[in-house]
Amino acid sequence: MFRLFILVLVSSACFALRADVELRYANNFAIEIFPTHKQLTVRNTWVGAGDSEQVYALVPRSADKLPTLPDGAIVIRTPVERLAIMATVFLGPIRDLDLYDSLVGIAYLDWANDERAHQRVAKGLAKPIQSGAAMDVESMLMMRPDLILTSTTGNPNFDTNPQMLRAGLPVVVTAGYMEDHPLGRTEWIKFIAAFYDKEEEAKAVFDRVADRYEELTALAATAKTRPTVFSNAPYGGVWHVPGGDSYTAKAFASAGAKYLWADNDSRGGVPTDFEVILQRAGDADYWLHPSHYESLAELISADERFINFEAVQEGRVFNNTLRVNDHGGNDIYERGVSRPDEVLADLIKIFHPELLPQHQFVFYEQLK
Amino acid sequence: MRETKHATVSKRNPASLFALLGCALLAIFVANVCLGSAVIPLGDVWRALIGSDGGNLIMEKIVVDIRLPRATTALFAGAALSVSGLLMQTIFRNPLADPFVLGVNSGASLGVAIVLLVLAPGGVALTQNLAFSGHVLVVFASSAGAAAVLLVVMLFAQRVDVMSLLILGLMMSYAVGSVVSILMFYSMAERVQSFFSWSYGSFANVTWTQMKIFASCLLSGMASVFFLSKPLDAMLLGEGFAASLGTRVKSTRVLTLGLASLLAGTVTGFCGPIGFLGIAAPHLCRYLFRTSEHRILIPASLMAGSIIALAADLAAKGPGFDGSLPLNAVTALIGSPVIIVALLRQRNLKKAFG
Repeated sequence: MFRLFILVLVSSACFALRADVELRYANNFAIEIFPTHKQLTVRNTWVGAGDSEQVYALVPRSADKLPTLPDGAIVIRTPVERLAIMATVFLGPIRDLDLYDSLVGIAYLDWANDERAHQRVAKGLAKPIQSGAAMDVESMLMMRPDLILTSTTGNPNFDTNPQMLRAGLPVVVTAGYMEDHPLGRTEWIKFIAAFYDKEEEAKAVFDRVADRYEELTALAATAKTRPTVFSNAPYGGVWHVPGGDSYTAKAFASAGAKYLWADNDSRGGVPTDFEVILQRAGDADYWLHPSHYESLAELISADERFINFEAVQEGRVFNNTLRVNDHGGNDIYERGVSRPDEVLADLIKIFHPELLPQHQFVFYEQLK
Repeated sequence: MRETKHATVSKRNPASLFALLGCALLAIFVANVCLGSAVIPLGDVWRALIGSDGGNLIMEKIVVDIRLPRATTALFAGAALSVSGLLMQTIFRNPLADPFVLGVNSGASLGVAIVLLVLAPGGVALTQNLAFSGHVLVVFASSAGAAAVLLVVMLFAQRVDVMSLLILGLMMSYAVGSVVSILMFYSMAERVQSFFSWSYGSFANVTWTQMKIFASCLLSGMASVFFLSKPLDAMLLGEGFAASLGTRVKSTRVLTLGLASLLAGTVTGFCGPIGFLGIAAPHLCRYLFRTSEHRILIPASLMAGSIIALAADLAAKGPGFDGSLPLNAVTALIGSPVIIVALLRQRNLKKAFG
């Protein structure tokens, strides 16, 4: 109870406003409930966003006139009946809250793992959307969405939200990917639920996941050993190693492994020469996420020098490619974001199989 | 074959220059093997090379399996690109010609774009059923793309004169390049990124197994070039003049273009599109040797190209740092000042082009 109080205090301190929906991990949004409408505030939408905030006012369709709103607020009428998503990551909350009936547009459909989303497209109930530079405003308008969920990179060549806003489309820019804790990303389910008045369900879903994640972290901390691990595979002769502050590095630490590049302070990938990797990780215990390779033979045929890693010789190479469907969509980007507890359980199973003897892999597989 | 009348402004002794180039080449090759991102004591490098026991196994792997093939690749690729540039400049009698003037690199990039942007997102299953993946697949695609373009250009070469061929090559490049742009336009950022990283070029991807193919293609190509030195000298004076000297102009042209493109296409297939080297190294040699004779320029270009490639690769590796720089950026960055100085001192390029 006391911790909860502190959290509320912290999250409201960030915004200096009354946060009516309690958040445990997410820092980049807040929800206020008013008698006439809800106000969602989003900040930190991309790496250079600074402290600019955007307010979205969720006003029920039944309301005849708009309430008084802060300047620059964008109005979205709720509950949403026609939803377009500009990234597959939103499919997680759509599945958890069963929002499929409102889904009318999906960008990067080929990458979507969610079978029901593909079925909706096959039945003609939803349309694939061109995204990035190829986005076509006219077909977006023809779709008549009540809500377009997107995120922004700050790169005008890729970002489509300014164009869509100019066209008067109801765009909401999320900042889930900018959260620095996996559960922070997951908690954005509450943000999406607000558009559908499904806050209670979202809270129940999230609490289940977060509680299990915390239990698993505590369990991993009891491990006697800390095996060494390195990650990724080279492309074009250069190895983009996840930095010590990256998601990957944090996940390894939570799962009780010693990440060999933990001393680096980058959040993204660090281009590194093959020889440096071999020098530092030649005798590492585990190799994770070797690009898209799904078997040791495939891995070694890609570059015969991989055989020099002890992890390859011992067969301790794992990849999160278990849930890749025929479309090439990997569920790690959908279910993995909404169920970080499952990802963590998989990692603990890899590094400390004795701690979770019953656990079956959800995302990971051992390369044979 | 008589010398062109301008070629001997100030006679230099080619033998001593070749000795100098040879020493420089040896030194830069050794430096390339000894230095890299990973800090390895020279003693360990030596022990790894002679294969003595008691050395550190990982160190040995780094030297033998990573550095040595990388330096060897740079040696061959630099030589091939540079001599290929020389041939193109001669045939087109144009100092701006480079190995890719006929569009082999845009063909290669189309092949790679199809693999990375079209096939890869369609699922990995595609590469799984084939016995190769990763770099091998990229090499295959890029060589196939280069070969396809080359075939078309060679068909043109039978029918038109040299200047039209230059423009046809340019048009091919534009057409193929625009297909690549369209593919990129519809691709995800990560995929585009992986295509970009191919286009930066790298000598680090050729393993010993692939080296057999890579080196034998290039060596046979480079050896054939030596037989062309006489007709090429004649070509510099213009095709009409060369014909009057008894040169078989058409077959020389087709053979030379084919050879140059084969060399450039092979290098592009294995290392990505490496620019600058092919245009710059021949100019450097013309300046150093003060001659336009191919008997001298061919071996000189081979050596100068290797030296530039090895030096650029060494700079790109950033010895002592974990990171590395894109090779293509480095080649031009360290190479262009050298060429600028050479041209300014030479002042009159026309002399070298008949």
